[in-house]
Amino acid sequence: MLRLRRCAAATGLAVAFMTLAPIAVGGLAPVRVAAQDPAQELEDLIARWQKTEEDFFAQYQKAKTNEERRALMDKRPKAEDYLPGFVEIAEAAAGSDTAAKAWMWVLKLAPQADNKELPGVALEILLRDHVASPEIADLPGRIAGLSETLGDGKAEAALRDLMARAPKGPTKGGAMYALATLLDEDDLDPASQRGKEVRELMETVAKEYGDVKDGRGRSIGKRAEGWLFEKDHLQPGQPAPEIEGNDLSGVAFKLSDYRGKVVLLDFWGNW
Amino acid sequence: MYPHERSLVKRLAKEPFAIVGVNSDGDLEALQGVLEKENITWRSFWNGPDGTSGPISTRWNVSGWPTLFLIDHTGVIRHKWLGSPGEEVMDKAIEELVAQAKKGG
Repeated sequence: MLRLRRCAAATGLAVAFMTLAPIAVGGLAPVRVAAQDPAQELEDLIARWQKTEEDFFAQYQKAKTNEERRALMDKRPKAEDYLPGFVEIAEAAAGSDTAAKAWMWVLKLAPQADNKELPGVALEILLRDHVASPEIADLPGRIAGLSETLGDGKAEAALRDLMARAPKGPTKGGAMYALATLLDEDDLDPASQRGKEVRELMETVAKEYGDVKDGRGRSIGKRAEGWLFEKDHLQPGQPAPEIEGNDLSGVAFKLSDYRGKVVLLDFWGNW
Repeated sequence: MYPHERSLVKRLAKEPFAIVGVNSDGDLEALQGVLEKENITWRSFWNGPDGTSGPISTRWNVSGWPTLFLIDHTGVIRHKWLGSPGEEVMDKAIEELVAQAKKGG
């Protein structure tokens, strides 16, 4: 009963939101959606958003003065103008993979639009209807990124829910890794309940989810391995692991070549 | 970082001390100019063409730059800093370990 009522409230929210939204941006009318083929409408809306963003960044890079840049910033594509379109498609296609994909876009754009309400709505519907959808592989990362907006333990609860109910695959592995990262703290006692849970999650991710990538294309299995390696081998008091590699001229050398000297090992980059 | 590192290299030239870098620039050619301009004389491993996702930083679980490890003369990690802890803290830690290295022979 509660779920139903909350869902109705969600719909009301989305509708109210749409009436307030401006209708046209940059000469396009991005929010009008004819509900004939939601999957196609969704692809079109995504393409329109991506095109306006690309055009904006291209123009921005061409701008030469700060005044030109400021003037352009006023014309920057606004996520809030596009959000209602995604909500409308998601509701028209309720229950389908198209809806799952549209709600994922709502989660992606809501922070840019500074919208604090829609993430909770989208998350609730995604967890209720779409746990097995292939469209939600990025959901764990989004939840982690939105943990402050979602508030009090909601992110943790959502990740635990996903971990328990998503079929074995990227969503489940991603939820484990995101949960482990969320629970981890600098001074977390490894012998505590929480410390043990974080280690167990990292061990599972390292063992079973090497082929799952995070938002930046890195394997979460490798990242979990890195976490475990750091805890086991990179703490003050432990012998530094060997590094064998090439220098910037292509000549091979080893960290242990410097035994006998104090070494400041500096992970650096020129950016 | 560069000016402080240059001064460490110069000041501790005769001491048992070395800076070893792990460089995470994907584009080595572009880096050559920087090495000359900034007078970076200390040796660095190259983290490979994948830049910050390269094998050494991944294995050492480095996800912020700079990350610094201070290793004593026996090869034991003694300090780890995410970002520079400031020149004073670094100098003090290095000098302590250099003194130990000289005592230990």
